[in-house]
Amino acid sequence: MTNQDRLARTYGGLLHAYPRRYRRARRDEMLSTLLDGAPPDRRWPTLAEASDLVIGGLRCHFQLPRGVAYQVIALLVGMTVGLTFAASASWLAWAGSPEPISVSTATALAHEAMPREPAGGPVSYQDPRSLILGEAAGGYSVAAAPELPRIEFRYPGGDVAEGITMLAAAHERLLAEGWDAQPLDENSASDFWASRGDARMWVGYYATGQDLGVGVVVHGGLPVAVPLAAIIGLLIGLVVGWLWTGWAVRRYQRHAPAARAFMVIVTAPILVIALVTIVVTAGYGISVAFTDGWSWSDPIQIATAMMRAIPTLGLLLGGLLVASVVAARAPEGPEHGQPFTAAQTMRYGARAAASVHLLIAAGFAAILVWYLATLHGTGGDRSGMLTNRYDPKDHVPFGDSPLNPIGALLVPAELSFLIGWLLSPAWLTVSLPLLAVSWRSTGWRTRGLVVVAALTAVALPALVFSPTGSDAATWLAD
Amino acid sequence: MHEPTFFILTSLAGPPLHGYAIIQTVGKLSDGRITLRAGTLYAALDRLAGDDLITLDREEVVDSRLRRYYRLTDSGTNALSAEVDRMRRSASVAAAGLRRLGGATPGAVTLGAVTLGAVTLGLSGAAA
Repeated sequence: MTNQDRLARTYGGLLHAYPRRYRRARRDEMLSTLLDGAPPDRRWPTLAEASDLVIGGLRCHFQLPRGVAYQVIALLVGMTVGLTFAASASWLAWAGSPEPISVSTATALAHEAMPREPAGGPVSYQDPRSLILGEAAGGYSVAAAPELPRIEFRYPGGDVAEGITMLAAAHERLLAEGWDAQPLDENSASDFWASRGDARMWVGYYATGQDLGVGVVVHGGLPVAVPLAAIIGLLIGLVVGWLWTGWAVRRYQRHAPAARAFMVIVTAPILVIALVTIVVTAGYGISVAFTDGWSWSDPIQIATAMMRAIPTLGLLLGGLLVASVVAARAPEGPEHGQPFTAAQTMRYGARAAASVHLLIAAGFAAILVWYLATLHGTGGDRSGMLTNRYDPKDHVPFGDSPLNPIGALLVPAELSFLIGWLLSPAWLTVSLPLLAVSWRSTGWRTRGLVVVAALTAVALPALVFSPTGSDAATWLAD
Repeated sequence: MHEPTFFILTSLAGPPLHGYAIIQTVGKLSDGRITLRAGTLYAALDRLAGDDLITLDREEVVDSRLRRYYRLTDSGTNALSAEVDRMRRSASVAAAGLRRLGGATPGAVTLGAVTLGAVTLGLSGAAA
């Protein structure tokens, strides 16, 4: 093998950094240019040449085409991926951090203030998603720093006078135990903060209707890894989302009109929902974080707001992945303006017909899985499921929330379940003739897809009349 | 217009050139300041072709190597002329400033091998 042969082979390997379509068009020409510029005795590409080719190839894959519209889309996708990464990273960081405060520690500290058994068990607020609320938890308001992980205890008292007496006694006990406590005076007679080392405690009188007494809230520290992970996740996600958009748009530009239309139909509503999610999530997090001024622990609010949007963001990313799969797998547009061949038209028609069956089956399956998961969650209480004890609305995955679109997505799935077993067999009058007509001009994969799809149309009526299927229908109808 | 783009268009302001010839010409025109590599060159050629500033003139195979020759389009010629005018005006403003300082009185301002204010190398041929 001569030096030139070896060099040509290495250049050819480096050119694999470019997309296949680009290589088909440019490979020989670029190879000629590279070999023309190489001295006869060169055996290997220089480092500069190699990096130039690799960077050029990556640009061909991922560089966003010019255009303001593409930049806006890239920004939206970047923010969506960034928020998802930030939320996931926050969640992982939280899960990987030591527990902010243990129940035993909190119980021991609370005992110093109130040396008696609290009513009921302590209430722990250490799920990051509950920390965003800054809520009046359990009927009485937490006066400050509601965002921190905390464990709450209640000590019911008699009337207001007894409550105030209990509070004053707790104040004295804490001072005696070496706590630095806010003074109890006329201006703040109903609650006070106390600290000792890293420990922080709020003690206050509460009165909610007939429920009177003293509450003790022991606060834990903030896992600093959480906001840090959120920021790193956001930055990485922004870059990934931007590159992803560049890749998808480059594919979009070379696709046939049908694939382009599908990508737009799938992506456009996702981007609109993404914009709303980004604004709501960021706005919610920032507004809560800035309430009562900014503090070092406030980034947690933004991170926890993101965590609440995880179901939405996950679904949005799922939709974008579907559009990307189409971008990657859909047929490229005919070159030089040639129309589709008859075989291609048959193939895409058969696949489209199969998709209708499969979508109905997917919705049906989702409801069946939802029913079985809920039944499992009730400990197998079948009669309860059938007698309206477990309302489907109360068992929407991730809860009923404006930031959780799963509830809305369950509506078409419910329709698939309730009438899909009729629609899908009816659709066989379209898909089966199409399969017969296109049999010779389609490959085994398309034929297999249509056959499997047609089988689901037969399976749905059988499933809906099975014991489990009819139970699920009863539960859903209730 | 970035300098490499300017020199690629300038190199094509004459007979059509293939990839390696463009690299050589750009190096010569820029007095060796700009060294184009294949990846950078073809990214630029794709962009310029996409903007309709250059087009494929012909292709031929020499010693089993495929060579594609590119030339300026009318839009490319106009864009290059506009850029040269802009640079000439900028150079004139700078030269007038230097004259007011009473320092050196530059004649033609030279950018690489492309001389502004005196001779526009190659452009006359392309514009013709």
